[in-house]
Amino acid sequence: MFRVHGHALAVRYFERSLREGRLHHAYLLAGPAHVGKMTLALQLAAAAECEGVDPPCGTCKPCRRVASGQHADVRVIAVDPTGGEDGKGPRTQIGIDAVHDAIGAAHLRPYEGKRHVFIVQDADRMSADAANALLKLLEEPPPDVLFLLLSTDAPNVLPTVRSRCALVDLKPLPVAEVARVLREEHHVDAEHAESLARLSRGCIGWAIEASQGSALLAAMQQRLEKIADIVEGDLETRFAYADELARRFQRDRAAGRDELYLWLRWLRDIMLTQQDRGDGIAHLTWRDTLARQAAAFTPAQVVRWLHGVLEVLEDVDRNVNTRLALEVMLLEAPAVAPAASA
Amino acid sequence: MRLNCLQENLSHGLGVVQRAVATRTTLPITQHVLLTTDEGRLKLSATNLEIAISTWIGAEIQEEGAVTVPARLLTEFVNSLSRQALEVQALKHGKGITVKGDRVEANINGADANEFPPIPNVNSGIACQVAAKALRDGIRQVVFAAAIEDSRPVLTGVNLQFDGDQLTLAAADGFRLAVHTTTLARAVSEKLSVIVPARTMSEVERLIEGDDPIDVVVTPQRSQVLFRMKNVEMVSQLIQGTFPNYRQLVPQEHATRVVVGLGELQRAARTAAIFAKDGSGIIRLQMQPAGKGGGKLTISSRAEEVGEHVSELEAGVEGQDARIAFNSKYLTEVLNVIGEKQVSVELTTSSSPGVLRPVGNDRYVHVVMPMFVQW
Repeated sequence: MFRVHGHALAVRYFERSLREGRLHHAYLLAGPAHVGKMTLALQLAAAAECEGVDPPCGTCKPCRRVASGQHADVRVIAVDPTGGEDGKGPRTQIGIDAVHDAIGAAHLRPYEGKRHVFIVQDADRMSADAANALLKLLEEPPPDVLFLLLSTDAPNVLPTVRSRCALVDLKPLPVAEVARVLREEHHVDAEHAESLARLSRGCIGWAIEASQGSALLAAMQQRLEKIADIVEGDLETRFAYADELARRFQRDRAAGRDELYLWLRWLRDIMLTQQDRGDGIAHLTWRDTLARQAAAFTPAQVVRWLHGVLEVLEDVDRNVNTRLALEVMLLEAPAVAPAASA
Repeated sequence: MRLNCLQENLSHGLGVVQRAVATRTTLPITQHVLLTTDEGRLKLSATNLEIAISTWIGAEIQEEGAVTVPARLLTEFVNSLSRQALEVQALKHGKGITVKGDRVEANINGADANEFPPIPNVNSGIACQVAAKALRDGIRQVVFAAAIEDSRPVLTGVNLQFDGDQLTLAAADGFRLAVHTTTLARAVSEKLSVIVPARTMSEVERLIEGDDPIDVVVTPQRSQVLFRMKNVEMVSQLIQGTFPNYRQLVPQEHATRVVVGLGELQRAARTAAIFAKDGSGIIRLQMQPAGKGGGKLTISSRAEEVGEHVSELEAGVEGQDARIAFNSKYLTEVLNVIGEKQVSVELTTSSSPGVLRPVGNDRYVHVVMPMFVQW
């Protein structure tokens, strides 16, 4: 039995494949960060090695070894942030060496289990050489090998690699489901659970981690605080922010885009508050700030602003100067009247 | 776990298993060595998930148990000590050891023995026995011909074919093929063909000590092979796939056959290699059968802008004039292992493979692809 939250469709699909002995040799599990890709992959790996009934049974020795990361035939290939011993420093990609090791291992018989399982984390971050080497293995897989590629950005996985995998799209969980899990399994009080569930956007891993007092929640609060400030801020603070965000884009595009999505959700919350639909907002703990900002703008202004953010999102994909695009967006954004902000 | 043993025994044992300790790995526990008490001795095991080596050393066991510690750390520490008696004791929580010697003491943190990958247990299967020297010679004569990193993984292994009391070892990398046949000390019960990683075979050769015959066991599922030597057991995963049918690659006929002293040919090849180094590694061989004088073999190499070299060897040449070019690395490598006083080189044309055999020994044959050159 699979022990994952949500993803009923994917679980049913895998259960049927397992029952009929028709597991493919390669899957691409795609979905946003913290949605449960690795959890599902590990469950699937356990199922592939399981010796009990209704795999993964969770109690047999192979299941337990997979769960504790000790199984010799279940390998996780990931970007090595610490860098190798060769002193080349932290890596930003999965290199060819890691794939070569996998190729070597894949052609040996499994060490202790029934088959080799290779879990490739961030499959979109393989170097071109690594992806092409993996492609060869995917095209002519040795027997008894299962590849599980995970990606938050499936369109950026090498298309030839992508086309050799069965695609399994993992959607965010319903907010109510996340809240229920937090309440019932992680003993979070109802109010906090609801707030975290909404902040998590259905990515249950994030919600669970945040509920355990990790830095995730604090970082999110800080980002929201900044956005709230900018909404009420003057042009000078807005331009400083545009500069900062443009730099972030340079370092890490995904993080930059993520910030813009946060903007969209914030503006949506303002709109909901304006329409007296405050119970649907994502940022429950910010209710007062949202109410103040909802009063300071007209609905039309907020809609225009929202379109501005969407335009930036489009522009950055077309290689428009990010800083310029952000500055234009913030320049066109309405300012809070001095009286209102005082 | 508590036991006493000698530093030199422990150091030797760690040296034996060390080659199976993983270097680059996704499973950190494979960088550990497993210490287990086993019937009055201390068993040391390591595995990199391809090769697992276990060895037993004499020890005075006071308390049974098992523990794993980082192999490199323990080896470095033990090797730094002088010869002395050591007391090894597991830490109270079982995740590490204390090693006590003469006025020296160390605590080494490790992990629970249960976390260590299971060392494959090969008890039953298709078994045979081979003499130490026979196996060592066989491995030495073929293992270098295996591919290093190939798009065809089967070629990175050595093919072992057991048939009755005959064992045939073969390795090939697409440019050369080495085949060695030897007699088993105890025959197999059924025909069997497996592919063992070349690295494993090199390690077996390194670990063979003395003249005790070696047990070879292949698991019934054909997934692992065990080599049991004196005090050392090595289990290796087998490579999946089918080894190419190489028998058809050994030319059955030849137009020219040269017999030449191994030492002389080796020296000439070495000399030629010096010039060949800068000239794409090409060594040219020209054979002339006995006419007015005796038959001769001319070896030459040249490199543009560096220079050139010619050596002439007296040789018994049968058949017609012939010439062929070989890669100097391939030629010197096979000459290094051929191991008889004389070697024969058989050729058909300058574009078909050459065959090298030791004269007076039909247990070895080596096929090398020629290089295409302008004469």
